[in-house]
Amino acid sequence: MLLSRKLFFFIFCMLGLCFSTVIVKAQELYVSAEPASTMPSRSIIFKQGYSYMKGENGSVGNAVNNFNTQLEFSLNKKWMAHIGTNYTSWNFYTQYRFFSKDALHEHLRMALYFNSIQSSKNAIATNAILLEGEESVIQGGFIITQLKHKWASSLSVGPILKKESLTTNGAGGLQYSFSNGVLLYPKSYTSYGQTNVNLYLEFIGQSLFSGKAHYFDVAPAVQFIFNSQAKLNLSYRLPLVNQTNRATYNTASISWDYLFFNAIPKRKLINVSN
Amino acid sequence: MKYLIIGLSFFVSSTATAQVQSVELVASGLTCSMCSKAIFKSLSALDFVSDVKVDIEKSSFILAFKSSDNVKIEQIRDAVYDAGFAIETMQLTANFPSTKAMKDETVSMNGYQFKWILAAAKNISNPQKVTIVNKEILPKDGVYYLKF
Repeated sequence: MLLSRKLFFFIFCMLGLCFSTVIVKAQELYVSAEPASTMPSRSIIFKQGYSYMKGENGSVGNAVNNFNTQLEFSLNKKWMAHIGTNYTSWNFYTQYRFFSKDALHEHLRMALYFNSIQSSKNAIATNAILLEGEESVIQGGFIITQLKHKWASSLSVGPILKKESLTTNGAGGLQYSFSNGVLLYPKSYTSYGQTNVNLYLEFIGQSLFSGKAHYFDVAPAVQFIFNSQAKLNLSYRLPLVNQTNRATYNTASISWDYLFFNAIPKRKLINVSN
Repeated sequence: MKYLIIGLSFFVSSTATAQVQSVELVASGLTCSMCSKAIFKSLSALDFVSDVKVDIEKSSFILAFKSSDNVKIEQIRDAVYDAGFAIETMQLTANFPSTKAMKDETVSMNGYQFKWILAAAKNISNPQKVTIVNKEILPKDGVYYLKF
């Protein structure tokens, strides 16, 4: 246990804030997780990020600078794909939204995702499965997201495996996340030019099937959206529970992304019905 | 005199032709301005749309057209779904050929068949704003149902 009582209190206050009726609108453009909603059809997102990762007691011996670039594009209104690199690894992510129930200012959506990370490094001798390009990993799962006037929450869960485990008897695990978001500004929308400020509280967890290791991290984040098209994200991820021997587990991240609407020519790649 | 009559008859026939002037829709499933902008961009990209007025807070979009002859309701609907959302309500403002809407009467307009879903006959005040009941899918009989 790494957490002081003060930090627990702070987190539970934040959780309370997320679900309180004070909040005007909730947001689901999460920083650490993907919501079940997919990108607008024919759009492309270009994203760049930098993370500073370090381990116990701020030791600099195991600090890692992680630059990453990602290209995200929609295959159609229900299906999207991401290709990313942090220069030691490549990842391919794809997500399909199979359920959507929309009403005025609310929705319930469900999606399936698949992610493959191909690292140029050898697998690390750690009892956690690392997702920042330190090793080659494969994962998939299910996402459910609900937006309802004053709040939005998203849950994701699915199996995760080191790729070397596919050929040997290594342990797999479960990866899960729980994300909440709130719009702080503006109080009411008058134009697309208004800068939006969103606050997020996300939880990211992993439990190995062997039961010998798990972590449960919290990642508060603030997000600025400019011109309803560009995002600047700032987050800090730290463990609430860490029963792994991960070398790095405190992560400060900054990223920006830009959404290009109607960037892909109007040609139905894959026809789908609603 | 002959040309005047031809001219007058053309004028009369063109005003008598039913035409869709604008479409107003409320999209569902969103609150954020980025989502609203996705719908705005998707609607603006339709080649027959000349202008889209938006109220982000209400998720409403009012579409004006380059020519009222070439309005495609299915493409408007698909543009909203392509942006990742659904349609709560869809209303159109049109000049109808008559001043009275009769119960179960069918009207031809912009290449579509529209059927009045009314309990009793009602007066039309052109340009009249009406609601498309079956805005989600074009039914098999190809008829859009209208109500006041």
